[in-house]
Amino acid sequence: MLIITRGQMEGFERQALARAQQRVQVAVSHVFPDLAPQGDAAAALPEGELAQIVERGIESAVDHGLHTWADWTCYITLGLALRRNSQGQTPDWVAEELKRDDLPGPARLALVEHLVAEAARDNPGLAPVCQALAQAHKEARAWGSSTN
Amino acid sequence: MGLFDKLKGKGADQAVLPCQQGKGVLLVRVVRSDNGQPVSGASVNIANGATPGNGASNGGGTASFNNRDPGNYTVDVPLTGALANYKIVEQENSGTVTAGGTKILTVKVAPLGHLQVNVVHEKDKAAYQHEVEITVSGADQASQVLPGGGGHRFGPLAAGKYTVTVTARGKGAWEHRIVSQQNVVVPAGGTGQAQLKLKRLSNVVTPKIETEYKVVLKDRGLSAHQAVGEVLLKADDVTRVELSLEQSQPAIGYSGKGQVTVAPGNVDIFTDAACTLPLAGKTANNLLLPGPCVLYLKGKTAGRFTLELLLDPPTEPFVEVKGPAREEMGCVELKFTLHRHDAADIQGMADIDPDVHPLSKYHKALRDAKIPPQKAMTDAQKVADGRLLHVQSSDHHDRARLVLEKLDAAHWPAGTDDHQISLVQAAGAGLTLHDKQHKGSTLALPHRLRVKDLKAKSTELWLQAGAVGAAWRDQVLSMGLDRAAGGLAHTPKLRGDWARVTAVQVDAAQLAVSYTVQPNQPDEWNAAGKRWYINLRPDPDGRKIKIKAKITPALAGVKLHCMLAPDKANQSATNSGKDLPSNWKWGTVEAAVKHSDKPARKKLLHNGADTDAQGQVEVEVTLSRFGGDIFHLGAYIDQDPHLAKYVDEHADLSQRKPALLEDALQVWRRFWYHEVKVAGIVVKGFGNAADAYEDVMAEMKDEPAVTMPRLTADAINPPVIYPKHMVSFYLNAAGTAYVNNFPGDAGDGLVVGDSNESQFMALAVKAADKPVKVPMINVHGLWIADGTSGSRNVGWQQVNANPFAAPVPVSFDKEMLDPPLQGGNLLAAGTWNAEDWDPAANGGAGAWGNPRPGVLAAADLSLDPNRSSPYAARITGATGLVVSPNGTRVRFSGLAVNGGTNFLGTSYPDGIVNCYTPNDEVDFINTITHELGHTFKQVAKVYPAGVPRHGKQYDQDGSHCNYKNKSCLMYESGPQKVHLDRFCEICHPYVLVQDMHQPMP
Repeated sequence: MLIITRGQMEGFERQALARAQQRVQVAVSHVFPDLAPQGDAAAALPEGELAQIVERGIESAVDHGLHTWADWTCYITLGLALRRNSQGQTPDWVAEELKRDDLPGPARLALVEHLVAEAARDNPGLAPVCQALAQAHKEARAWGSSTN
Repeated sequence: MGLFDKLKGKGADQAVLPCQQGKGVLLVRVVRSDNGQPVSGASVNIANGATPGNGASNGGGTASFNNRDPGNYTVDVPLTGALANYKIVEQENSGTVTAGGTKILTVKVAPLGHLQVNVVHEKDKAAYQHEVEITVSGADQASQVLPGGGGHRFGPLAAGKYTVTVTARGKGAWEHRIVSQQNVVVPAGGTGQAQLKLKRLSNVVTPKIETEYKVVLKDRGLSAHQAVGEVLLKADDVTRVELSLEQSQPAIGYSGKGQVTVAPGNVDIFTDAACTLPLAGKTANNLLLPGPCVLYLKGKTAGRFTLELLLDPPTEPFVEVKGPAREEMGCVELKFTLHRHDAADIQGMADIDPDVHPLSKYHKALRDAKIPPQKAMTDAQKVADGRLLHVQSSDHHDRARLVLEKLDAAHWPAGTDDHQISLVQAAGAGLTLHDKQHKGSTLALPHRLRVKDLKAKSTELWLQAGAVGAAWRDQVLSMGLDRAAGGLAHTPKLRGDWARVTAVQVDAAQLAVSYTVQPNQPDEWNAAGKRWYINLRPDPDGRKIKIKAKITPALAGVKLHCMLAPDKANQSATNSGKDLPSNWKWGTVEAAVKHSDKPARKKLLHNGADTDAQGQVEVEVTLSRFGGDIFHLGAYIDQDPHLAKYVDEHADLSQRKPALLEDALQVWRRFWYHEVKVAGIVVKGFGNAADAYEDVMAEMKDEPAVTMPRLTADAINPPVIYPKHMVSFYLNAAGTAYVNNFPGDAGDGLVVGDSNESQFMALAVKAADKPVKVPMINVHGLWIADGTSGSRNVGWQQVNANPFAAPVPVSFDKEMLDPPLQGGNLLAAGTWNAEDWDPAANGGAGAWGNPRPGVLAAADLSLDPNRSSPYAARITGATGLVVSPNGTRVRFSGLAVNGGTNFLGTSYPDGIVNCYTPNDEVDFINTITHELGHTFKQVAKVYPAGVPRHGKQYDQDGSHCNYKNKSCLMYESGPQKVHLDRFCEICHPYVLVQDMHQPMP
């Protein structure tokens, strides 16, 4: 009988998280290729900066009840896209929706994405955000959803 | 601290676990469709689904349903309470909830309101009272057909923005049949307003005039000058115009007519191209619509006019008539002036005297003489006469001056500057245009000028014929109108002005001397030898010839001038054997002996005549009297007067030639000689005597001899037959002694002289066809009686018998024939005295005694057949003398003979007697030619006026020439040591110009 110790489990979890973090980082870099160190010179981030953003994003996503790397990818994409679209600020209503406690995190994220899409009908400025989210979902589908 | 450690504290372990709980979330969003605001408080019921539930939308407009079993869900949003005046505008009311997933459904609701739509006319905002359909779409949708137009109140409708569309229905025209208004707001609980404007259109009818040309040619009426029966040549004085109406809305239509007018009435309007149906009244609508209505404007009076199309006012609604249409046009006259030479002007030129010295002065004056400019032809002349031109060849012929007259700018409306004035020739004509009268550049026909240019100034051109026509005036030059392509189709307009041209050609090959010898008349023309014998009729008639010239085509009535163009080498050795002496000044030589081919010598044009039906003329001209002169025959039409200046081989004046027959003829003379013979007596022929006359351009022709029967000759008294030994003597080479040409020859010698020549000449037969005929007799001796000789005495001659055994020679101062020509005996007088020898007398010494006289008888004197001298005779006895046996002596006293004298030749009025001199055959021929020279008045003492005296002429036994060393054949006697056997260079020109018609009487 194979007995996995808590320590062994933690080791597995560390590896899984690291792998998930890496996937998210790759996905985000695909959505925002200009942010990669090799990307567009004006927008390129210093080496290691994207990894830090992803790490902080995952940490924030977890705070909002998001626990899959796909949600993390969409969450980080939403955040980066909104900041790009709003001079670094995330609209208040987005933050408020994400803080709702009557819905699980993924539902809140889905609702926010829905609202963003709804708002984009009257606000063409939100179109890039919608496009980034669509790309993030595409990246997530490409990797599959069962590799966490 | 790593991410794992950070998350661990936040329950991150959950993040790496499969987090599907087997449930999903269903969210239903309720928002306003009109402003997108979330609607709170809306009841949301799960009508169908695995996990039923009810809820209401929160402040964010979302009703949340957590922990739903996966599956399909349908929700229902009943609008009640505060939402009672709402309606669902759009709803996504069903969807699938997945495990762990979130499905969001959206229901859009809107409060209700109304919408009042009014339809008005755009122009005056009055209610539009025609059938329309109104459609509203947006938050809600509705439509309504309004047969009478006006407005309609839609509702209740979902509040929000609408697009209102009005569609005009039925027959008509609108600027836009469908009009819309967007963003029409239907307020919640209120009534939105929309007013839509329809612009119903009118049919704008615009009259339109299009023209083939903006001008109409005016017929200048030249056809009035055409002959009866001719096909009249009219100007293309009709311009087509096309009238039509443009309708902005053809479907509406227009039923009015149009009134077409011109003002002022410079043209007439017709409805047919032939202009037989004048336009009357208004133009029917059905002609204008769809159009075009074709009308024809026929030129009448030059000047500008306005063509107008005025439409009737409309009787239908929504029809608007524009206009009238006006076209500024012009009736224009084209004119060119054609010129031709005027005979009177040419005749009026200053005299050019041909009788000047040297002749080159005449040529210079001829060259410098200005031919008067061509004179403008009238319209009648342009048509009825036409311009006569000779077909051009090597720039020899003249061209007609053609001036395209400046256009009257006042008659040409704007927009016509680029119209073209065209010069066109009728098919088959061979006319060309040129920029200069002579040489220059060729301008192709048709030739076009812009109206603009011809409005500025007239244009001078020169017209040339390139090919003969077939009849009078069969080539037509037309001045017309043309323009570039564009607009209505057009055809070139011809004959705004026109003229006719007759193109002919003088056929050089047909130039000839016209001559037919008449029965019993002399043949003056040696066509093969190109010799005209000028002396066979009296001068100057004998020099008159007729030049025949012919033109192609064979037209009657063309004035042709014919010339005798003297060869450059006339009056020179080349043509006449000897140069005209330098002291013969051409200017003073009388004109009567020069050639004459002009009505007046100092005028330019030559003799002329109008051609007959065969296109021929025969023109009389007079040759010169200078033997050897060569003339070229020339002919030209009167419209080529410059060709009258033609001078053979002149540096300038030979450059432009008339039709020429070069070396056509040479001036010659001809005469015949008619030898008279005596049967049985042969003297000598004429040898090469003719050569001396060929030298001076005279033919000496032989006629068959006429023979006198011997018996007739024998019967002539004084006799004409003597023994030859008696009749012909010559001086020896030293000139010291005579020699008998026929010593001892007792054969019959023919001796003819003054006393009997006429009996021979009478035998010569006159012949009308040989009017210049000289009878000639060649004889052995030409003797004439010469009276009685001087008295001669002959001293004692001892004789032993009577007749004497040895005749006693005696010479006289007269030549002798026996019998003498004057009749009687040779001995005219003479006595003798004789004495006999008496041996006993004188003492036996003997002495002459018995003196006695006696008279000589005729038989006592005779001529010795072997005598050497014509002066010698002999005494053969003394009639009555008895000779003593002892001897007798006799002497003669008072001897005289009937003498004669002889000549080498004599030219009698009725003929010539030439004495044959066998001792010098050449001199015999010279005798013949010499005597013929006398016959033709040589050596001339009478000359044409202006010819200087013959410097070597002298009178001795007639008029003779003592040219160098007596060498001229007209020296008084022969033979001579130096003998030219020809007329000398002094005599030669006198013989050339001598009238040889009549031998010298």
